[in-house]
Amino acid sequence: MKYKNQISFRVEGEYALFTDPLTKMGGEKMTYQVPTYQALKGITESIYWKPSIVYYIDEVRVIKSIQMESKGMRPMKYNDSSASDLAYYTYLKKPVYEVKVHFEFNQHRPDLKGDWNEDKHYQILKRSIKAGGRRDIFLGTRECQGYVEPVEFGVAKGDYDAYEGELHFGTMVHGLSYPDETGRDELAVRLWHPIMEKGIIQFPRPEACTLVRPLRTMQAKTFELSEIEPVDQLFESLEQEVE
Amino acid sequence: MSWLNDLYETYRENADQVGKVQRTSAGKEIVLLPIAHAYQNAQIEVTIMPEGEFYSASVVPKEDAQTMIPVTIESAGRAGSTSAPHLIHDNLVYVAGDFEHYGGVYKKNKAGKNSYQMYLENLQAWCESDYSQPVVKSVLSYLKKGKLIEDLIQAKVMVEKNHQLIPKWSKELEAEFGEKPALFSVVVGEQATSFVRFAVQEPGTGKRPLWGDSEIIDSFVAYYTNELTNEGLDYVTGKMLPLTENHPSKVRYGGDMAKIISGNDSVNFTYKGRFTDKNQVASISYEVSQKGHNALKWLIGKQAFILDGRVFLTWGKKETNVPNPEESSADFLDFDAIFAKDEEAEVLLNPDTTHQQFSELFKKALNGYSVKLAYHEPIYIMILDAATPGRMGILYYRSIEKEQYFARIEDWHQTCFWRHTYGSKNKQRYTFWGAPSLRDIAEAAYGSRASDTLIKNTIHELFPCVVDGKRIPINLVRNLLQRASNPVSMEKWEWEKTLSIACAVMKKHFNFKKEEKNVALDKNQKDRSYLFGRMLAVADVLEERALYKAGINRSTNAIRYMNAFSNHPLKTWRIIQENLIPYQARLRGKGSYYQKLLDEIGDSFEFEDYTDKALDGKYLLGYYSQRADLKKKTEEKTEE
Repeated sequence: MKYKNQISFRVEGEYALFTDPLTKMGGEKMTYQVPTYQALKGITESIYWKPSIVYYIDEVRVIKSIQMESKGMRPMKYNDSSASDLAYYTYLKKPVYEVKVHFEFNQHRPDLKGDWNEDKHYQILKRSIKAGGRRDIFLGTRECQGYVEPVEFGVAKGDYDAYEGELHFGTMVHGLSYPDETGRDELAVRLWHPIMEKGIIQFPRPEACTLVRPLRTMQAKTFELSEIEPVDQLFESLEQEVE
Repeated sequence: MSWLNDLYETYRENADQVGKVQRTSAGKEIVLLPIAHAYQNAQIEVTIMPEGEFYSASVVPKEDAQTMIPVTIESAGRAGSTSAPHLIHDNLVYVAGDFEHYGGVYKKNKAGKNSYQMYLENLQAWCESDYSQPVVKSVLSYLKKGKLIEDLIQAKVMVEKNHQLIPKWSKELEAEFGEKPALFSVVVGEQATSFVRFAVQEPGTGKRPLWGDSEIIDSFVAYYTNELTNEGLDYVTGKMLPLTENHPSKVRYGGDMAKIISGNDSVNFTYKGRFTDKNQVASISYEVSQKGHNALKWLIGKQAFILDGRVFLTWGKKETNVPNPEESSADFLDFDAIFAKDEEAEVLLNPDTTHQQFSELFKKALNGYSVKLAYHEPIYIMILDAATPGRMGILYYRSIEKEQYFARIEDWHQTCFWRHTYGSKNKQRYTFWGAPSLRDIAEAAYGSRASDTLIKNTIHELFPCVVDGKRIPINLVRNLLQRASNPVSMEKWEWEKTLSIACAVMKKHFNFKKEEKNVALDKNQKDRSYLFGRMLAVADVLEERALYKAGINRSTNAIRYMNAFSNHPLKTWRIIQENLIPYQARLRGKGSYYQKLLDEIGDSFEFEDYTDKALDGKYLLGYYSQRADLKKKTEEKTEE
């Protein structure tokens, strides 16, 4: 294992919608064929997250073959609850993924240095995966509920195990660069050209992406160390309760 | 790859087709449009001398009106009050300098410039660039004189009265001017709304039209793409290219306003959230958007299967014509070629053709496609439809490698097969072994009077069964069983068609005798549904023969009780059998042959299977095969 705190989990759902941005503007959403880095990062953050840590997705393994299904939808109009729209959404059908992630401490948050306890976060993350995550898991969009469980990466049989050659997906969104992780007061989008081999896509680190497009200025959300309950303090209070 | 990138690549692979007019088998004109070009109907054609003098003018007949014209991003999307001039060819309000002299009113842009000035400025800029063309300069220098309408009136193309263009032709005017001028029968609105296209009279070579001319097209494309300035990151290629916010409509057909890429709802949270502007969602280059959309329009016009607005499209990048998953096995064959070679046609017309013979023809056809495509070349499948008039959704998108695609297509046609006799082409009836078309399956399951929406949704559902090897949806299988079991509800030919389609689907669904490629009767089959089906067939044929002998023409008890039989085989069989007794007696010696057959089938039953439980789809297979077997035997006998 390259990273000491690397961990794997399996995530699956009935549907997934990793919206292709070209089809997002107009609202006739169609999914990408594989999840974006950002979607997987979001899933991991739903399992367990603290502002002091940043997740890095190392790789994803597509277990079930890529299938799509479209549905006629009636999305409500946000500003007019009496009206609804009509649209076709195209989802991925029965997706199953294995995700390999690790975390690092957010170097742009030296103020939270007191929370940089690697073993603590690793153990909590492990327990959280076992419990299926701390918050709702969803695959791309809110209506696509997902389910998480621990897994040993690469053991289960996958539909692409025997696939010869590479699968290219063209230019895809890698993820969004938020100010709290880049240190710049700006929101930017990163693109890249994913390649899948035997079902596995290896992700580059966000800093390694060359296609970056700044979108707009944005301020990082502030957290104080006082807003976070240190684990030692929690432990103490639990001890006291027992006494 | 992403769908737009695949379309963009398709355009590049077929660049030699750009601007060439092709015709579909239905006679429809299709063309792969160059970028920055659009189609427009012209009513007036003006020819100019190279030095910018008027030469002649004429009215364009309706059938010749379609004109490929250069457009800008703004002018391609102009509508209503927005004014943006095209280049070279345009409406009178843009090209005529004396428009206001004859009672017209120019359109004005925000800066207060009128439409004629805007047009001249645009054309001037092109003529002054490195990409200018002498013939275009001729048009410019002529139009600068501002006497187009005057010349058109002199050429008797347009008509004026008291220095005003006559808006509409009326009977009273006939007395004054004589016969109705040709322009009034081609223009939709008033004379002043006419669209003008230009040609140049070149010495020696004669008239040179400035539309559809590859030199001028290339020159404009080079000029215009060079003019575009707002460079940005293109989400499709990942390169820095000039961007566009406007994407083409009219994808499926001429008047179709639905766009695949759009974004005009900035009020609701369609794309909002972390973005504040639609440009933050994605940026697409002008070139990719134009080429991708033009390729899509071309492909749809050329080879899409469209039903109730839903587009089913399959194509390859280099060789765009590929077998469509919707097609039946027989659709793969080029019947014109086959009927030209008589021996093979005989094969199809002969009711005794075997699956073997058909299968060879099918394979030959499939190979014909296959060799044209490169190794590992992807095949693309796209389904499009619009839920609202303005936006179009991509309902399905797949790219599959050629080898896999052909293996899937072949697998479908070799497993979902039966013997079909409903086909006819060139007024010749033929028999084919193989898979029915998806539309035929849908219509067999829901009836030919089912709504188009239901049929298109069913075809949509069946697509992945062909290309992804998915199982046929169970509700469809049930419906087919239901309808095929109810022969009294339809005409005989329709039921026969439904039955053979149902048999094909049942064979696929139950994976019945997977390896065997024939529909012949299997006497060793112990499946109860199959055996009950055989019994029904024997009863049917027996009674039919007896009725035929007596010269009576009505449906048999077996047919009439088929529906009940499929639900309660044992109970219904008793009724059918009782009714058979007089017919058996009438057939005398032959009757005992059928009785022997029935006993034989009865013997094949496992004891515990002989129950009243409802039958599954395999009984149709048993019925069909036994009936075909008996009919074949009697035919052989009569020949002796």
